[in-house]
Amino acid sequence: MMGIRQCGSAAFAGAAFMIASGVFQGVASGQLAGDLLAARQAEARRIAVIEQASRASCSVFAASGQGGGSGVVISADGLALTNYHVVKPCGMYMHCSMPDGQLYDAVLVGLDPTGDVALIKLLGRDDFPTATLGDSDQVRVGDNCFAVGNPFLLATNFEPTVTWGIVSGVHRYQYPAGTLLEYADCLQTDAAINPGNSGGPLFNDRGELIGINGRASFEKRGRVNVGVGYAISINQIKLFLDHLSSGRIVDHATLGATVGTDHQGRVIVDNILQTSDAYRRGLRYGDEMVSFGGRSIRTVNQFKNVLGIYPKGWRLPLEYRRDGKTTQIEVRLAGVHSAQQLIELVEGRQGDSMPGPRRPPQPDSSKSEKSTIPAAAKKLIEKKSGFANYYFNRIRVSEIWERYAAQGVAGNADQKWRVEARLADQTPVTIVLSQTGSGMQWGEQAAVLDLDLDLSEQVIPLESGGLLPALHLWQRLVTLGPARFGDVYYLGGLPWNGVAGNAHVLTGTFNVVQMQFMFDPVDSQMIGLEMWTDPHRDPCVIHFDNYRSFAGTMFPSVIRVQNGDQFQWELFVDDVTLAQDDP
Amino acid sequence: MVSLRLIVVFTVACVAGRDLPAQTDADSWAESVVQRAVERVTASVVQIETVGGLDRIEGRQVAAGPTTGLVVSEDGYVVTSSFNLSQQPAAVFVKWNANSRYPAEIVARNHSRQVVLLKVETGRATPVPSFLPRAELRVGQSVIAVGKAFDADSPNLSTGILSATNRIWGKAIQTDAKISPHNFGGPLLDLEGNVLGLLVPLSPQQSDVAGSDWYDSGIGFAVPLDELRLDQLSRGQDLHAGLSGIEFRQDRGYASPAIVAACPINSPAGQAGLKPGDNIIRINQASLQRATQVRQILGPLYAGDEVEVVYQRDGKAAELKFQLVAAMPPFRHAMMGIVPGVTSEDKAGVVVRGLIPDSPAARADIRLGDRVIEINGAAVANSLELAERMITLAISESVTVKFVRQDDQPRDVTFELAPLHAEAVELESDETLAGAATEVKLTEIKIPEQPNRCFAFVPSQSAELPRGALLWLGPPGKLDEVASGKRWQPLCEKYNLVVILPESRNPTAWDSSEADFVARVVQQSVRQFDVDPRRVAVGGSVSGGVMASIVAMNYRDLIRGLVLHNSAMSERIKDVKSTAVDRLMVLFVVNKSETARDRRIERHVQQLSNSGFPVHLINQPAATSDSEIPRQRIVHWLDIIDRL
Amino acid sequence: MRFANTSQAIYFFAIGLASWLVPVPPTLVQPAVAQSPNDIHQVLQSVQPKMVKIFGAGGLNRLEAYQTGCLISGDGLILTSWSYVLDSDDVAVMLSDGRRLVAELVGFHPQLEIALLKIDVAEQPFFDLDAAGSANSGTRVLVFSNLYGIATGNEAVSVQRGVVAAKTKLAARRGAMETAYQGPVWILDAITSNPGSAGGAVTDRHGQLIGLVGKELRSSQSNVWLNYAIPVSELGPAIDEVLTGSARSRPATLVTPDEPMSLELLGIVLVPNVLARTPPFIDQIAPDSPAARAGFRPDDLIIEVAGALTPSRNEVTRRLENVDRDSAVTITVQRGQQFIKQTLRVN
Repeated sequence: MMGIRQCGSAAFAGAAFMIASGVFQGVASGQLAGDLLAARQAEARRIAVIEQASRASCSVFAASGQGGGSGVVISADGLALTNYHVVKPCGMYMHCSMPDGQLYDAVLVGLDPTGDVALIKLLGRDDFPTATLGDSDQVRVGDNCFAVGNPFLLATNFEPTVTWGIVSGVHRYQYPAGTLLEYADCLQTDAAINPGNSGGPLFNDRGELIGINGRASFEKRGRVNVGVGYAISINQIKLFLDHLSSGRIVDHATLGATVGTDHQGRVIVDNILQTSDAYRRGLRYGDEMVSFGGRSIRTVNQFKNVLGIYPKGWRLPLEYRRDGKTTQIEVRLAGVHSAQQLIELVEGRQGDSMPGPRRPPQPDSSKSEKSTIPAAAKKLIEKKSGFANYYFNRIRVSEIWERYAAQGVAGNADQKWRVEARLADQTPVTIVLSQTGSGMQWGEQAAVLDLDLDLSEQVIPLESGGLLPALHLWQRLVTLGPARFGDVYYLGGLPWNGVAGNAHVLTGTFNVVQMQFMFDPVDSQMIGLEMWTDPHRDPCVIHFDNYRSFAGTMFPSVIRVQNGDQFQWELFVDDVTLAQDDP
Repeated sequence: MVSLRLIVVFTVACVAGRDLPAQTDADSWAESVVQRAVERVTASVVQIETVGGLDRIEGRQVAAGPTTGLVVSEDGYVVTSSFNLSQQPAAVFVKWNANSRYPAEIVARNHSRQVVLLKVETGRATPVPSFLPRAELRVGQSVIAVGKAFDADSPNLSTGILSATNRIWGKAIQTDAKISPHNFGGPLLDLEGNVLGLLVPLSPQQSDVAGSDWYDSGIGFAVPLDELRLDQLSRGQDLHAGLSGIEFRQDRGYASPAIVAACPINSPAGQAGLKPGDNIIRINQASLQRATQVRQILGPLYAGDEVEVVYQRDGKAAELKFQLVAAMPPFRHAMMGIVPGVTSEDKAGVVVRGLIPDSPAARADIRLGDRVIEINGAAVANSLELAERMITLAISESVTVKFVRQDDQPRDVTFELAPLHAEAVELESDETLAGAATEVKLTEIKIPEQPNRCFAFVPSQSAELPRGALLWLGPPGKLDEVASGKRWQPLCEKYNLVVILPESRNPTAWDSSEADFVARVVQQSVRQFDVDPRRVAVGGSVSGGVMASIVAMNYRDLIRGLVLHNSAMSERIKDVKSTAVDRLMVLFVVNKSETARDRRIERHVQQLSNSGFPVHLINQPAATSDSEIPRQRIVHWLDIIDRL
Repeated sequence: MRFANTSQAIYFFAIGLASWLVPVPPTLVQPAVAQSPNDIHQVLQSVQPKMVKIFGAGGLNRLEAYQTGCLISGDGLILTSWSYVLDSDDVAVMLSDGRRLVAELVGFHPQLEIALLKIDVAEQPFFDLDAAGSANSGTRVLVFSNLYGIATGNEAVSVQRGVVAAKTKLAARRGAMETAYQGPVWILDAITSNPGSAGGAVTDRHGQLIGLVGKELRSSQSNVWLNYAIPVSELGPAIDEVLTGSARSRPATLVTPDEPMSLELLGIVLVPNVLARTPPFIDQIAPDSPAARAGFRPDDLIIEVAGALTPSRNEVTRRLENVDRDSAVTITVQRGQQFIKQTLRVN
């Protein structure tokens, strides 16, 4: 008879276990027994943390069943993070398996191809288990961490693979492939990361999500882990989360300047575009980087690590040194790609754009394409060029607008607004706004907009960068609403003076003028706007403060106007009258 | 005691998992505990030596050096990984320490778990470790992998956690400890030296060395001892994975339902009365919805095991029982002899775009342009339905086909089905059947995480039939897409065919680890270029052909045709069999050279047709140079591999 | 000689070889007091300043031009792995604070394949080899190396965690190793066999150096990459040899006798050698030969010659070549399930 001895029950409470299984046959020294208790306790803690954290993990598959990767759910209604390179082959509809043994339908929400991040939404529940977001800037080398995912797609029963290790490095920089898949300020771990782990969570030993695994050094043995894996830091993803929820293909940022290391090992500007905001703020060739985004800069990688974690349009403090004198500026970051480039990079490689005319769908092919999308998913999918999934943008715009309208501000189409105000020096200012014609008078000067000409040609007052056209378009949005304003969409969240968290941004273009309308994250009040008559010039920046009721409508009682570093206006509104428009 | 109770309470609270303090990890693998755990099994872990045997298996070097085994009985039974004996040595020795070598006999093999049982006469009781059954295990628990590959006196060890409790279709548990030839055949321990399983290389693809190239990757497997059926093995009885003969269509991945696509009448399930279309809802008391769950439940079972299947047919639930078997006769497809065309919007049925000469259909006077609308009284809407129906029919089974010519009255013909063959027949018109396309575009294909360059020649979609696709693996090294493009382009146009040319990662050789890359290229192309999945072939010359054979045999769900030009198959390919759903045809094109290569190719042709694959061999006139690929013949063959 | 006064060693040594070595003033540096912190973060803080990144030759056909080194004296003596990277006129060393300095090659040890570099610094934290930790299998270790050259400038080198898997001799390893070193090594349960890892530090949990990460090696037969380190116990003496210039190449293999033993002399004919690993079955025994007198028979399988396992026919002949024909040789054969061990002597 084959005598394999089975030992007693292994409860994972150290002491209980020791007694039950009668380990050490009583010969163990007290020291050993103590060590075992400690080990069993640490083990029990680890088991509990892993059990808790892995519930939120998922595997991602194309609806055809091919390929796949990992992901992690971050909201009870099913929003989940994964890698761009995981969802890319899947298109807009996919399947996600979870450790509960269930297979869920999922749709694409947003894409960050440069950061290799994708946001998807699992369907069918409003109580998905979710991961707790940690703070990756608190992560230190040597911290325990664990990866959960589907390496080599082994999880045929949907049970994920858990691998344990330590953080081997922080603030690592890994170069992009072309302009995509750049891993800036990322985490490095010796927990096993293999093909299929891509998109899956990296947790700290408290079970908090600190990163999204996406990359490993496979050079040596070809697609097999060799002790070096990288995770996109969760803090970078937090900065992009609003953008990703917009259903857009979001872009990363560039300073409009590049840096290099000189012979003394200083990081200096070795190239700068005259059209960049940094240049307008005073940065020049040869200046030494001192700090950027609040971090001191001593290597080129440190600079790239800061630049790589912010979305296009973000504003960051920058400190540079010239002739021993350091200067503090705030710069607005431009996009890495043009809108068109992004679309080509993303869609150009997807199924939608095949060469030649498409064959009309046939019974055959439609049947061979067995992945018929269920209705529940179908109604959450709207294709539109430049968007990962336009449906989610449409929803966000109407959400924001409804809540804004509820503030009792929006007027109706045929309104004329007359605003009486003073500058700080008591100069009277009168502004009349109407979609049939707007004008203003300040001190001795007066001007009206000629609506037959390009607004970009009518920068009034000149030094303001275009206060009048800006307010004209403001009134246009308020009175007509986003649908009739023109092409308006939700951009995401950007920092805005005087708001905790990020302002929600609706952006729109009216003929050639680019507008960004800022909404309070809490009550969706419109707290300001920015207008570009020329993308290479400073925008006219307007803050709406202290909303008060004028003639039964909520209206900002203080309007601060800014253009570049020179122009500053503060308008104190005395009176607003709303009249029927008489053309 | 008081303190102990406290600790119990505390740890239980932890297991409940409320806000847990960060831990320094050192204590969870306290050195003293690890060393003690290893000491407890040292006397049961043995070193295994071999004399003689092969030095290459499935094309790769195998070690001659010592490996590891585990004692499982006091009367000298030892288990080890079959990887350690895959070189088929002339003699096997077992060592408890540096100066105690014993001869060992191979008693039996467990082919399902890749484990070998050895017997050693030591004349004394051999110490047996204690083990924990799977039910006791928890993901995240500390584990220790132990081997004796370095030194028979002192074991080598690796620590990690339990990564998963159910892997490789229920056969194994998984760890992130470093598992490699240094501990294959050794035990995986918990913190107290209890054995959780025997360390073996495994992978979804079964073979003696499969999975060994994942060594040290943090993905390692162990098979629980109580699932090895040591009693049966000790009676000299080999164990095999149990086969049922049930096949599912998996084109929706994990969403694919458990609806039987095929189960041949000579298979256990078929004999028991299970039929295509039956919806399996329970097996051995476990209820299920998805096709993969069936494989998950049957995975750990052995040949000879009885299974109980509850299924639904026409809305009514029924139950049947059968015994799993070790081997199944290969599935041989039946053929009518028509090449299906496209179904028009308004008229359901399958338009005949080609006829295989002298086939049952041809003899029954079915002609080009006829539209098949029924088979055995059941309507067929399009060629896909017809294909699904065909795999449920047996060779020389008599079928009645209803078809329409122009707009005449439908008529019936009845004939016996012939065996499907892969011959490159000349059809009535030598014109291509798929129809011509016009302009051809060169498109680069990029696969994430993959350095390889890859190009596709994509004809614009002018023909009404979806495109076929041929992925051609040239010699390793720099790919001149323009030059090779010139050679393929005319054929792409003529046959409305997508030709895909990948480049090898390594300039001197194709690496079998690139099969995954090649398969992903095929997947992406089918999606991106709207390819007809039933006319997808992979092929290559010489070493490219060897690579192509690996791709075709490991990704059967993707590949319908394999073309080998002056190339035999990879040595890695073992006992493959033709199946109903994943139909595969093979074409060999050979320039006679009277070399060992030719003999191997002849052997492979034999082997493949014995395994049920339709195979065709074209011998080129002796004059032809090896570099010259008969593209026209290959493409013509591919054009009609969707024959039914 | 030990490490408190390394620099003196270099100084005296330098006078001897001033031609290519820059003399350095004999500043006597005391090692920092060896405290053993338990918190891993303290340990890492204490170790990182002792690690350096080394840049030299390479960069061509997938040979990386970088590796790792450990400071072993306060005035800039660096222990690293002897490799093509150092085979360059300008080898640069980057300290953990990002300072980049030119390094002089002090010397190298052909057997251990380690090298010593010298940079011009003072009062740099360093590994005190006198206070070096010890280890055995199961000891938890931390590995510090700049694998894949991930860390640049003042970025900290990568840290991996594992345990000592085993202590063994490289020579005793399966397969043929592409190295001169045949001595004892720690096999590590951490994937340290990577580009750039060589010369990295293996420490215990308290940050005490216990070994130096060896170069990338794999067994040519099993294809397994070896994660190993050279123990401090071996390094100390070798470093002394380098510093005193007494490190010389010695032949790694044994001298074979001029008149070796052979199968013919023993009267044994083995089955023809058809495979790379033909099992050494006896085919014929010459009448009244030593083998015949020992009672060996056809179909016996030779499994041991002179105490060593003989996995193949080639191994039998190779073993016999190391035996002098005038001395006795013990041979073990397997017959059925039993072993027969005999001592044979030619007349």
